[in-house]
Amino acid sequence: MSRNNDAQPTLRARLWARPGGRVALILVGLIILIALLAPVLTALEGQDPNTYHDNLLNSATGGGPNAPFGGISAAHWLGIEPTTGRDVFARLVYGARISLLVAAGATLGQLLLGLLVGLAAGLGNRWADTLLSRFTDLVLSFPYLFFSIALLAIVPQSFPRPVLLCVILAGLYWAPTARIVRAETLVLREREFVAAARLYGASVWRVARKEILPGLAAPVVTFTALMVPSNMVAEAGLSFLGLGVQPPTPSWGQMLSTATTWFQTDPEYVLVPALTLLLCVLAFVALGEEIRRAVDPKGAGR
Amino acid sequence: MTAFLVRRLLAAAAVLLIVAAVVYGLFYLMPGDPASLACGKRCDAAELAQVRQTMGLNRPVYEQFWTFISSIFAGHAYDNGVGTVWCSAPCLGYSFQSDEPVTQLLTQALPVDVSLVAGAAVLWLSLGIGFGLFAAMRPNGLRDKATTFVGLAFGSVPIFILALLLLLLFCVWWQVLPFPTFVPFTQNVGQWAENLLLPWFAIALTFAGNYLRLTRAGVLEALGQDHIRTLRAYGYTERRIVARHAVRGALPTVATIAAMDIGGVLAGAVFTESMFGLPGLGKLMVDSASTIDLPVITGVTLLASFLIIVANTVADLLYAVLDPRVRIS
Amino acid sequence: MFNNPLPARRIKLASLSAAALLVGGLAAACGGSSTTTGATSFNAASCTGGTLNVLDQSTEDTGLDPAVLYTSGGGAIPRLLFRTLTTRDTTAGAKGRTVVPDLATDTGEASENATVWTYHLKSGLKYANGEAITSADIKYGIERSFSSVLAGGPPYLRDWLVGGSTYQGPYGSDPDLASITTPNPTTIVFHLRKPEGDFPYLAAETQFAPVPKADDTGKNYNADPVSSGPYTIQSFTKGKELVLVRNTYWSRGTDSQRLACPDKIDISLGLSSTVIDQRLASSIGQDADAITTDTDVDTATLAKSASQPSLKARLTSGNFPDTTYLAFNTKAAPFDNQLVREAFSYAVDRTSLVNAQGGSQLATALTTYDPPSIGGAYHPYDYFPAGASGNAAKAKQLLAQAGYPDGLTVTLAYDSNGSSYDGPANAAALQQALAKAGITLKLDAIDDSNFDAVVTNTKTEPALSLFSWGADWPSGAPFLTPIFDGRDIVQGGGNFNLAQYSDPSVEAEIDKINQITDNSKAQAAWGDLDAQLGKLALTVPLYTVNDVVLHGSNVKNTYVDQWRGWYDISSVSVK
Repeated sequence: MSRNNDAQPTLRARLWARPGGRVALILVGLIILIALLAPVLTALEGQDPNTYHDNLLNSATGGGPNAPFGGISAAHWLGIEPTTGRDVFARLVYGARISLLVAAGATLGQLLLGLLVGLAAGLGNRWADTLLSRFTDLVLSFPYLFFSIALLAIVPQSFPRPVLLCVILAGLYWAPTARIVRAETLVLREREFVAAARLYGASVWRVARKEILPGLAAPVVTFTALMVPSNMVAEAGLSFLGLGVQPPTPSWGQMLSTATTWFQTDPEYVLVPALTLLLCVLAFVALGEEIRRAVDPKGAGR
Repeated sequence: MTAFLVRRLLAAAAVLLIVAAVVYGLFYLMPGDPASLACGKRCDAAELAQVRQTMGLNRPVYEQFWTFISSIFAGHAYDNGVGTVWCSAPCLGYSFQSDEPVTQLLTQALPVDVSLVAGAAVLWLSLGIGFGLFAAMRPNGLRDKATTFVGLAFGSVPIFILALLLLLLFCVWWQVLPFPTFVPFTQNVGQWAENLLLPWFAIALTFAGNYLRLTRAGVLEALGQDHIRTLRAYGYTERRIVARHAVRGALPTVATIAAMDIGGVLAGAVFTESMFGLPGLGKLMVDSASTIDLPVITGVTLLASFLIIVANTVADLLYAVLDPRVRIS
Repeated sequence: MFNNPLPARRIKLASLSAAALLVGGLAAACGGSSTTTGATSFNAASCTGGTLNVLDQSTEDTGLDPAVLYTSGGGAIPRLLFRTLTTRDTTAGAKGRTVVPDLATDTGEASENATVWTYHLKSGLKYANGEAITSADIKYGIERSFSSVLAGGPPYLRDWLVGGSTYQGPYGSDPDLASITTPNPTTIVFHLRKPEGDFPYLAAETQFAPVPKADDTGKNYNADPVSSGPYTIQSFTKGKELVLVRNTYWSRGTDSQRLACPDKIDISLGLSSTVIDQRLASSIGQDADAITTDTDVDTATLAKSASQPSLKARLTSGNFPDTTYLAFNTKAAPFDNQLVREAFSYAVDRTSLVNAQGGSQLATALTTYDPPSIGGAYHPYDYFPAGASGNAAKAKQLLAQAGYPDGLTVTLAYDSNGSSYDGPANAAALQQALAKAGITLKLDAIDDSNFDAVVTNTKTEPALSLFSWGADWPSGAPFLTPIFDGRDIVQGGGNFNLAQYSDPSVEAEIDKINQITDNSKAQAAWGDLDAQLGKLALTVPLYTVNDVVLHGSNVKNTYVDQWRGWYDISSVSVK
């Protein structure tokens, strides 16, 4: 007996039905599309993220763009970077790849670890549950940001940074997912169909796979959708501190950190990555909220 | 109650010990030479050997860790090249790069974080609970949707961007506030508060949204309870009911999460401190990470864990105190 | 010497400096900069009085022991405490690059082909404790710098003095260094291993400051040294504060090089560079009487000053002779081939490098190894004209000639978080520029604590590295010799002849120039040597750094001292 309710519309359909959900889905889809098509878009513009353009900079005043509005022109849609002259639009869309890649990788890692620990705690015997719950509590006691900073500073540069970021973010932030998974698993485990499956002799793994996981889908998807933007912000923050991907690979956090010194003379260079980051985060958060409402429409007052 | 308390304290101590082991293991057993990392460029080969000796890096791992733990309680003598320095308990290591015991650096930085958290917590609780009540009064109405949305938006803004915007608005464009530097509370209360205003708001605005929703949810849930109906039947005004009775339903959750968040802010206000130039633990961490001053990195991480564990324990206790149902279980 | 001897010069907080730069930028914006500069002009006769505040990043936690300090021309703060045989000429203009007598009556009598140098001390010289300064004290000061417990300082004494390489200092069983003799309390004679025309420059180093033997406390001397200069230490808390007050036994009558106008100098140590910039820019209260000896302005303040004349008026711009350059290891392929080296010389884009430092106010492109600020040893040349942004076509052509028609791949090693240059920014700019010439540059970022150990060891030296070299004094001798003299190639660490270049004719030329005691002739000869070596493309000079420094609105006489590229702490006043 499975829990597949064919009568209920799928999550995607439910999302699409709501106006808010539609907007959020479109926005997120657009962002992902832009990131994927970064090479195409920059080819359209005729630029690339790494070429320097000294001639467009004013060396005498510190290397700021000659043209006003941050050097926005037909050739450079969003202007150029101070001190290097690199194209901002190109760096932005390539930076989107890093942001989304790290956010996706970290979220995936957190999901896998959280599922693993949470399921094992929820389905296992008391001893396993206590041990794993204590372990989860332990990880929750770590100062995440300090740990990330320390680890990123100590690990040598030769280790690929995007991978390191995913590993650190996943390794440090999986605990909330585990907690939710465990709680939901405990609830589901008491349902009759699970008891029935066990009676029929199904192994724990089979029970987990066929009976529990589908039931977990709804809360986990909701939670995951909200983890993506927080991972994005975390990566941006670490790059802002100079610990994320190293130059010349473009990343939004890094653009922001160099941009802040230029606010007086070249405000566009701050506003572009700041607003972009903000929009992306809001889009993912909105999507997460819509998913939550679609999944659990009768939640009291939510 | 005491049994509960004792159990929680023992658990906290155990967690702290394990965290110390992980921290020590991760930092001191990583590939790379901890002595040269600790000493930095200053040390030549002879001094490096001396540092290695005085940090006990030649001895087996469990002995190192034992020395590390016992130093916290009993103190330790370090040979810093000029003479022997006594690092009194609680001794969290000696920074060769700054020629100071780590504990001293921490005690200089901690008051800044306490000042930061105190003001910020007061602000976010007032804003969060206040607006949460405001929204709960007319659920699903326009003001409810609006306040929830604003709260959500602020909560989604990365804090360093929010800090930047606040600085630009209040400091550069409107010029109503001076650029923040840290003035100790003991030196001048007025200036202390004035300089911390922007950092307080930066943190508070980021957190308020969450508390807004928590309060709102808790209040609405409480309002659905039977005893509220009775109070209404008795003719109490809606405002009174909400303020005095429904809030109590939300209180345990809000208080618990507040305690945990306070611990989190105390132990991780890195961006706020960087942006506003506050010499707290976050800035200490960033500085020591850039020079890879290993003893300081370890010390700061340990202290931060300690603060988080204390906060989590307090949160558990608060929950037990405020929600009698928990105590019974 | 490779690291700038000026303490804590141009320190950048490593890569985690982003937010700090923001703080500085906005702080510069927030701080009111409308305070008026001191309207009264400077008068040396009436300038005495007041307290000068100094805001420094350096923590001075190694203390102030003249034996261990490594300065250029005596440094800034050390020069207030330690008088030496000679000192730099504190005057504006090119003369600031020469040495003049300080404790001695002249810059030294050279004899026996500049291998023997004799100095006579002025009369009436006293320490801050009233004792008379004798030549034996100077000998003792130099001797203690050889001791292993007082490690530090420039390496020349060990090499130049007879017996210097084996002498162990005055604390052991053989305390006397025979090559320094003191026939009477006002005469001191130095016997050198070979001719050194630049000896008067070396005599300006702090190691030549007198130390009374009776007051020597060895390793602890750095906390409370005996002063021979215009000020003495009132209190010294390492990492926090150093307060100097007048040495009542000093007077302008015996010292023509220091004005010492302020009665008191209050030095705050260990401040962050952004705080220093902010306080100097806003110049409020005591900060109007403040200067700094080790912090340049950041790019944000610089950009801001373009639109604020009152701020701009308080900026001084100078140049300490240093060169940032690409160092080829000519013993490693492909740089054993001169054509390849020339190709790289044509390919570099100096404009993008200058921009990466913050624009032309903060750095000047160089096509010569000796920078213009070194004085007479600068001869302009540009054998491989790369133009403003590099000549990729010519570079490609040369590479094809050298046997690399399809370009080549090479790894650049650079210091990822050091303070002499912005490694990541320079490396990225070089990568881009060289790519246009078909050169694929792989980047090897080496952490600051390992960089010297890797690059200056002939066994581990990379084929191509980004290096920076500063002049111990403004002369071709310390700038060129360690880099191009084959006899200075050191194995096992501490080698600065990164090209590993060795040519007996060049070495003979160096020896010849060292015998010249007429300074201007010597400098011209060094310049000729530099121009000659430039043809071999052993390095690619990139740029030299300009020091743009701020001072408080009430500080006067802030002319730029050409030796250090900075205003001079012994000349400024607050009255």
